[in-house]
Amino acid sequence: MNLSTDLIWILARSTGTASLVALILSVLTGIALRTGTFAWLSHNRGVRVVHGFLTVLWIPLGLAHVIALLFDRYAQVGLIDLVIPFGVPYGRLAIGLGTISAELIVVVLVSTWMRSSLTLGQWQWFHRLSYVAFVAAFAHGVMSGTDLANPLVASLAWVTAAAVAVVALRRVMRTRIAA
Amino acid sequence: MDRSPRKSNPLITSTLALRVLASAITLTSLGGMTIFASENLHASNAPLQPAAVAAATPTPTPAPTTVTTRRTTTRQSVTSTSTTAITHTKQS
Repeated sequence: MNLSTDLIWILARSTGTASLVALILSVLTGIALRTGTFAWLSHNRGVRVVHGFLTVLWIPLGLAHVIALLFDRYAQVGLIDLVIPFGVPYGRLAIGLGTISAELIVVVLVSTWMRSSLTLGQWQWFHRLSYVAFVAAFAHGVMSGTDLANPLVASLAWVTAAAVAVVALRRVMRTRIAA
Repeated sequence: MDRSPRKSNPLITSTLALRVLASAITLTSLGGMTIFASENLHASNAPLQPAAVAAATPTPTPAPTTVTTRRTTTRQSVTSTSTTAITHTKQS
């Protein structure tokens, strides 16, 4: 057993799953700000604080996931693959979706930091990219995640994804009714 | 009697408690997955099998079917009869 190789592999898997969990929480709290889904849990200010705080959790986890995969000799992910998607010789689509997700998240983060210099409409359109990023990240996890092959982990992932879908649908319906 | 709708109080009002809850969920998943991944290093049913591993462990090709028939070797031994040689001497 090669200890360092195994450690990198374990780290890549655990940080990948944990960052997806934090991202799911972030998306859920973000949607709940408008829909009041978590009104039973906390007031809107609290939900907003958690939504912002979750970036502190998933950014380091996502970075750790990417860095661990760069050092993993089996994954064979290069620096160029972090920028240009679908370049990895195996699992082209699955890993490419991870790259796209990471890039979209960077766009969302930068737009959030530049919020004061953007109009509300511009910021909203940039922020809506987080839905696409979430779908890409989830598909990346399902298509390439070693641990999502386990039925228990997979069922948990699908249940949470379904929760995000329900809350998002609820938000869309409310917007339509309000319009 | 007219009853005005009363707004129910949320479960958690402290933002610190909410942050602790979010951290706990994330860190529990991190810890849990670390333990799970260390106990299950290789998943044969994983959707992706790295190319390096695939190259290192070649897929088992069906071995050529060799019909091994039991070969019976019959050793033909020379039966030697160890009879005492009878020498006849011609007597004149």
